[in-house]
Amino acid sequence: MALTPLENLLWWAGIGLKVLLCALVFYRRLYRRLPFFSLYAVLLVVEVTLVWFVYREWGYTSLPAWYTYWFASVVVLLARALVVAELCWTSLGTHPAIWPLVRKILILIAVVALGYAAVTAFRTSSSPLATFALSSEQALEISFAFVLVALAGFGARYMAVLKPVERNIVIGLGAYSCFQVINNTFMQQWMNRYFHWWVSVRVVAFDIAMLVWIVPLRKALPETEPERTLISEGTARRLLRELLVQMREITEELKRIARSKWK
Amino acid sequence: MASILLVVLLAVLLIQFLRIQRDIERRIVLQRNTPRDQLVPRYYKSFTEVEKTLWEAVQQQQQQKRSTVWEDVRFKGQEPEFQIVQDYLRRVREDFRRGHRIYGQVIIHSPELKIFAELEWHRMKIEFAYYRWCALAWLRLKTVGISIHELRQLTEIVATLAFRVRSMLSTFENSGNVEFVDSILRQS
Repeated sequence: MALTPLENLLWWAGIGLKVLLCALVFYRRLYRRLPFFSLYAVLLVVEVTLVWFVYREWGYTSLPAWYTYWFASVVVLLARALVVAELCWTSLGTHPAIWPLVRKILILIAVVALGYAAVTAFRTSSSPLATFALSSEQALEISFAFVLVALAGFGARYMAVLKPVERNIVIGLGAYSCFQVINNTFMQQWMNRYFHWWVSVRVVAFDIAMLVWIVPLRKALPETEPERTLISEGTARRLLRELLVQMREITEELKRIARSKWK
Repeated sequence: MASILLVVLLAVLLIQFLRIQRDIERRIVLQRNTPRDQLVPRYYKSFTEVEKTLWEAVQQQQQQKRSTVWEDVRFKGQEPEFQIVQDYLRRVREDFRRGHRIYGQVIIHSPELKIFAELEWHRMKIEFAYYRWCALAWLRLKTVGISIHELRQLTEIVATLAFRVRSMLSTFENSGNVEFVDSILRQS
């Protein structure tokens, strides 16, 4: 079965946007700042070209198309997971108190999501590859949404504001992940018969995400100078400890006053 | 269906957090040339003046049917001195937000998770108390009116936060990290 004209149009629009994104990433030298996002942009072009070629050669419902689609989906999904981790690192990597904890949480999420997907794929009697891709996608999409919201929330609480490019990547990834969770839920419950539509809607959602990523790359990126260290780690540790001791003493004193009032 | 609700909630939170981040950026640009003393909480110090103004206003209206026990007097929407109360509450809230931001900026420089967590816990305790009194103040303003006791409680919470922030800044400044303190104030 061949692709419908609408599906063809969507694929072409998707290819165009992916090529444009990839070109802009290299033209603006974003790979220096966000290497995993740049790798992801390259993989998107490779994926769409390969999948489109296979569809064209062997047809939409052929076995090679099936395997190529799901294998490419898994690779791109894992690359997206690396992009989310990279965003966390660029925003939180400079905070020595937070980053080691965040890194452990991210590794735990990845292990749980992929472990869940592997177990689900192992237990299924139908296609393990498709089951693994869908299960890992479901688990990871919701994790991405959580992590990105937590990242934005952290920035809002501690004034660690995201730069425009990173912010747009967060918006694009966050919107796409949220959309995918909704899309997968509907797919599971009601839309098994409408697989074509499911894929098309997913393509449109991703095209919108790419447009969001392309917007800040239209202009040259400002040179980012490495942040100057205004206080040494040792001094910060010593002074903050002093402050903590003061706070504890004041708290104890207040408690003592409160107790003496009640006597 | 639960996953859809969860995702909608996450999407709303993401939008809200990114909006806050945009506001932070705008504020940083706006306060670039603001004098340093205006970047720290300061309005809460005017509580005694506000109390005095309210006291005088109430004394002038003693012929009306109002309680003369100062702690029992409640300020409602229809009364002229209500505007003073509202203005003061608005400024105290601004003080709290400012102090909260400075505190956050300082503790994020903690080199250890343990120190960070303990300092954050101290902030959260103040935060809980503040939001509890804020909710109460809002409720009272909408219903029976707010009393001077409630205003004082709210002021005390903000003053506690302001004191902690001042201690932090002085500790850093006295150890010769003036540039660090300046950066904290400009970025918050």
